[in-house]
Amino acid sequence: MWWKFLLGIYMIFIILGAFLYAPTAKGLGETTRILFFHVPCAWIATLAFLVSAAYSIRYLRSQNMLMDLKATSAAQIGLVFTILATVTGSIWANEIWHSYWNWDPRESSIFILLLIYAAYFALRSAIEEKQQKARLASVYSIIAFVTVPFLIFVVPRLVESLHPDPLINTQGKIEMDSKMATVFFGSFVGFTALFFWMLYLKIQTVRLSQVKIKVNSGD
Amino acid sequence: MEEIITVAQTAIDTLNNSQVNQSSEPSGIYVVMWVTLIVWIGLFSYLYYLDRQIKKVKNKIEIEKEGIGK
Repeated sequence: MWWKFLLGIYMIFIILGAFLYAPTAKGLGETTRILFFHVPCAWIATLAFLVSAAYSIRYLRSQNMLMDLKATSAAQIGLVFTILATVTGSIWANEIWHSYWNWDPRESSIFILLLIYAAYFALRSAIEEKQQKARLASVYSIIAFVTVPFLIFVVPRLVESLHPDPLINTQGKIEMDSKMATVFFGSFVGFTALFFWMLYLKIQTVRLSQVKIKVNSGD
Repeated sequence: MEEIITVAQTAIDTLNNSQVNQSSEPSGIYVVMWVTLIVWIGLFSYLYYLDRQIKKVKNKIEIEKEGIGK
C-alpha cells in the first residue's frame, strides 16, 4: 500500500511542478502547462495498447481467459487516455491555433486510432460466444497495435504539421529546458505507475464480479 | 531526491509570491492549478477506496473458501 500513498504525493508534486516550477516555452505562454499532462496521456495510450497486444498474444498461445480479460482492460484504459490526449490537445490547439480541430496529421492520427479501438469494442460486443470473442478480439488487437507506431510516430513526421518538432529530434538530442524536462519525465513516471495501478484495479474488479460466491456484510 | 526537494522549494516560493501578488493581479493559472489538484485528489481517493474494497472482498472470499474446506 505504501507505494500508492507515495504515488499520490508524487503526483501532487508533479502538478505543483508543472504550474509553479517549470518555465513556460517561447510563444506558448502559460499553455505550456498542458504539455505535462497531454503528452503523458498519449504515452499511456500507446503503452496500454502495447500491453493489450502483448496479453492478446499470450491469450492466443494459452487460451487462458484471464489473458483476454487483461487485454480488454488495458485497451479500455488505453481508449480513456486516448480521449484525454485528444481533449487536452484540442484545448491546447484552441489556445494556440484558435481552433479546436485543424485536421493536423497528429490530430488525424489520433482520430483514426480512436476509431480503430472503438471498433475493437464494437467487435467484442458483437460476438456472444466467449472463446470466439476472445480469439477474434485478440487477433484484432494485435493487428490494431501494428498501426499504432505508424499513426503516432511515423505519419506525423512524414507530413507537414502544425505541431512543434518532436521532443527527441533526428539527432537523438532532447531539446528542453532542464526544469521543464524534470517535470515532464517525472510526469511520465507518475502516469505510468497510475496506469498499472488502474489496470490492476480494473482486472480485480472484473474478476471479483465473476466470482459466484455471495459476499454479504452480515454473512 | 535533491531534485524533488528543489521542485518542492521552488513551488512553495512561487506559491508564496503568487499569494502576495494575487490581491493586486489575480491569475487564472492558479485557478487551473487548484482545479487540477482537486481532480487528482478526487481520482486518487476513489482509486484508493476501490483498492481497499477489493482487498476486503478478497479477504472475505478467502475466509469463505477456508470455511468450505473445513
